[in-house]
Amino acid sequence: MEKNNKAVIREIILVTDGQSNIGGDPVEAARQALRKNITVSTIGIIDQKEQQEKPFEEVINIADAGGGHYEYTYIDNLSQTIHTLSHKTVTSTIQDAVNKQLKELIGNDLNHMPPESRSKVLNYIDKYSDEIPICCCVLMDCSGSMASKIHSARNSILDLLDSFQNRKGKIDLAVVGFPGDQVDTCKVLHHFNDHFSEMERNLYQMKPKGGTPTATAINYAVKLIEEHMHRGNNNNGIMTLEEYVVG
Amino acid sequence: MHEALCHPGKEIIGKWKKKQYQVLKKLGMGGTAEVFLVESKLDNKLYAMKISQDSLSLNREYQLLKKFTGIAFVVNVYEMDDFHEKGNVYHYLLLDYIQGEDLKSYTEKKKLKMLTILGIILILLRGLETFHETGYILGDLKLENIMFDQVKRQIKLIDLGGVVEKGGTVKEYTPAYDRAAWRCGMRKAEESYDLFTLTMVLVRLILGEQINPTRQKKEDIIEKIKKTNGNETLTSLIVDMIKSQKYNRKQFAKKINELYNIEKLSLIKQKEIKTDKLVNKIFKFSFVLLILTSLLLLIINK
Repeated sequence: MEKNNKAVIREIILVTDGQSNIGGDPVEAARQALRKNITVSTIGIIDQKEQQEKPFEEVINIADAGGGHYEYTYIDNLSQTIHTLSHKTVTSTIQDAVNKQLKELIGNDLNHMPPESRSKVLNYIDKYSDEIPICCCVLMDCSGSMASKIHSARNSILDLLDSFQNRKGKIDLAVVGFPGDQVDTCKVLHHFNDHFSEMERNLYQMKPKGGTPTATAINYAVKLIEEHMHRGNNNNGIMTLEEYVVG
Repeated sequence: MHEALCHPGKEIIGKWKKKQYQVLKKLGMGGTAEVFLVESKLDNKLYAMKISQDSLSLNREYQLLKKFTGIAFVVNVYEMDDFHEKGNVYHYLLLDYIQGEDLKSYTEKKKLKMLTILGIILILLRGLETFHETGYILGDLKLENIMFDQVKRQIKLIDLGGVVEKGGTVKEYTPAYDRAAWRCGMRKAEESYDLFTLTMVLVRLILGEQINPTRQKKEDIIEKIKKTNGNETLTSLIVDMIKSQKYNRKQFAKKINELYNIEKLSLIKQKEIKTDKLVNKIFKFSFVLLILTSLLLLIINK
């Protein structure tokens, strides 16, 4: 069970209500993140008044490139959507790792196993998904258009923290708002090392203004997660999930 | 996702058990799954087929349904299998088809009597007992998941997707009934979490309207209950349960049971009063008739 401490789910959850309009290509940034074993999932906030004129493709493309999931939601349902999405990311990351191993071992994945034996593996994944440590960075769009939604967005993050704290496994949570004080920057609202009790106060630094530098934010989150993981694991290196599952 | 996939008339053959079904119509959808009414080619019986690509949550539900099978309160599950369609794998559960309506659509058409509401809460409390005593939490209890079986005249729970072991995290929930969303406690799998959701079901049934924690505060709900519901004992019970889940399941059940009996008694009394009036009327009527007849007789005799 000692290994348990080393396999960690690393994920970025991007919450945005529009297209990236400053800086680099967010899809490419998500691709780079996945290469470093960090999945990027996205939530697109739909305006209640404008009847989803067209689904923002960028949200789908970022999640595809980042190996994560995407979801659309009204701001009122954001709490539940973040909750479901973060859970889905964890289970599917484990499931992918298991499938990769099964393919190497028996040449087939879970779906090719008969339901009875598959059940056993799934039960294990289910249990494990509540125990595996998570390192999660929430990227919150704080551009001008979020002004009317920022209150709900803040509550949704607090709500996510509630859910996370009841898990059996360790949880490291950081919240980054974008843009930051300058145009193409972002700002750490809650750092991995900050205490959870400071979260609420920290989130009051969310000040919606300016554009949407999504790529910059993703790159920054990757850096933040890597630094944090490096610090936590000293020189031991980080065991990948595949190594854990096979062991 | 199954719109084109599961049109009425489509045949589904299970990959592993090779059983054949014909899709008759769509019954509903929720979360990651959709439910269809199907007819088995083997026994010509009707079943509800729950289809999803999320094998993890479907498997979890299958295990739980099997565990609680035989309890009148929970829908029966018969098999779990897969089918392939256009390169995708779909998993399904075969469940009892319940002829009836879920409580949500039912209450949208009809306002329930207080006696019925309390009766439903008592049945649900009884159902919770089974889960709690085997170490589980129901989690995602809501009107949509409670069916009125019109044939067997029973209440059935049709979705166990939210069930988790005690001590874990509540994974699936609905904000209107969720303790954390109302800021009344943690989203933790403990008995009091279920008692809170049940209290919100009770609130929802009494108010007969939607409740929404993003637009309302718990104080608004308490205010509304005070206005709508004349029964002070019930109101203060609800307030205690919302604020702090003051009572455990047994105490809560006992209190609801007392309220149920009082309500029943008062209904009987009302009926008695009504019968009294009726007897009175009949008596008066016959009396008048008697006088009239005697008068008539008198006149004829003259």
